[in-house]
Amino acid sequence: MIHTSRLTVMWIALALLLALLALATSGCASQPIPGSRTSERSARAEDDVDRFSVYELDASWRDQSGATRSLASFRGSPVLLAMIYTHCTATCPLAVSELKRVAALDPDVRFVLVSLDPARDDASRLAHYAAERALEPSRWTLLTGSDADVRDLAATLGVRFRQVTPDDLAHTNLITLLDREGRITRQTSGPIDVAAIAELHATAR
Amino acid sequence: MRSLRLAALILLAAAQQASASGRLVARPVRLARRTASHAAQHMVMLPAGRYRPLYAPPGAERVAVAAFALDREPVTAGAFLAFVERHPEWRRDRVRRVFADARYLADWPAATDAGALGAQRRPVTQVSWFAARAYCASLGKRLPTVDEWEYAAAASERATDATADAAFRSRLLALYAGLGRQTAAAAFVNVYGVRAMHGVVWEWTLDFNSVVLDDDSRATGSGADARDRHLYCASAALGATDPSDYPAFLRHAVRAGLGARSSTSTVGFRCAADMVIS
Repeated sequence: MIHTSRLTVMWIALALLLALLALATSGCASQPIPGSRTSERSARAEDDVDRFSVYELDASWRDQSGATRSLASFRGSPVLLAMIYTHCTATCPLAVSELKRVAALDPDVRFVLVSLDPARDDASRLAHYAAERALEPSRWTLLTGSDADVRDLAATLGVRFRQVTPDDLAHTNLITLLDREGRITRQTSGPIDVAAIAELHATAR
Repeated sequence: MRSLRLAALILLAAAQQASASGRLVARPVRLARRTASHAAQHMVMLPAGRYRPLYAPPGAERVAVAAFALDREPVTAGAFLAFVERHPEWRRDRVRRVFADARYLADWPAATDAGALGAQRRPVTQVSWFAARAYCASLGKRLPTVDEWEYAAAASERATDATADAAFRSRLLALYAGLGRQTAAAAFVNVYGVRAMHGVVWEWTLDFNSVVLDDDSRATGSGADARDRHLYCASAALGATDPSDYPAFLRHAVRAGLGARSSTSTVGFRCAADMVIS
């Protein structure tokens, strides 16, 4: 008897969960769904209605040379952006090596790595990290900022993160392709589509 | 301690009143008296404590929550209208698109019209996370963290932590099923004096994007796909402190489905504040 009622509750919960998710997704249906081709098209169709630029965010960053930078300073060239932290040993090195692969194939795209761990990643730590991995300063910018600005950018990009232990962050491993205006063109947690970047170069000319 | 709390509340209310009227300096004495009652009316102080999150950090089933103040009720459409009037950059026709999607306040008759009085008394919805945060900041407050919100939401009318109570859980599920059909006024007031935590609207939290269901989703096509896949299959239940806490899973799922620009008809918010000791 107890068993049946538990099961019933479980099914109700499951049904509710699915209904809620449908609600939640319908709520943001006008938002481009990262990585999906169809949503990319619909986002373009709505162009002026709901396209936004990440460069609209007010945030002040510090790069690996210690200089103050805004994301808007990357306006004008396609950008591949990833949020990482330098103490990360699991997925971040994979993301960086994927970005380096693209760097070898495309001479014009710029790379921005934003730290999810600003408390430990200061400018000198970022410079050290860049040097260790031979990330050319002319093409690679590593940024650190305030907790609030990091959270804003993560929230805007759909990067989810959480401090798991004092040393470790859990985070979604997302690489974002921004067009020349800072609009999210594509997002991936796997291999980067180099053709999509070439397309961005082409449309701008 | 009690007087400290009261002082904090008064300070907070003063900030609120100042930003609401913009005339704090002119009438400080009268204001102090008025704002004490204003604070008592709008916010409650929650004592420090511990609660059990759905996903606990390794080695600790319960996490500590510091004392904080929380709005008694969700922010109403009327209050949000007042904010929009003071801060026109948050009008639906002026908001930067990075901060809110196209549904932002789209249910209002006009950019500075929140509808009839009855509609204005209801919790505001179709507000993005950015907008909710800006509203709270304009009053010297902030959004509650997931931990704070859940800590407050664990309380029933009689107990500070009713999450293990099967009857309370069933009640929450029934409330969630009727979401949108019940008013904040009719919702229950918990033991802290906080009203309508369940079943009126879902609520934004400061770190809603701390829901990480899988910290290594490279194998899947995109972040969104990975999120969905992990929500729909049972793997999200692995590692939960109490896999039978369905209401907590539901709230978790809602947060996981939201983006910072999402302005949906079922999500509102309330503000919180630190205890300011000065």
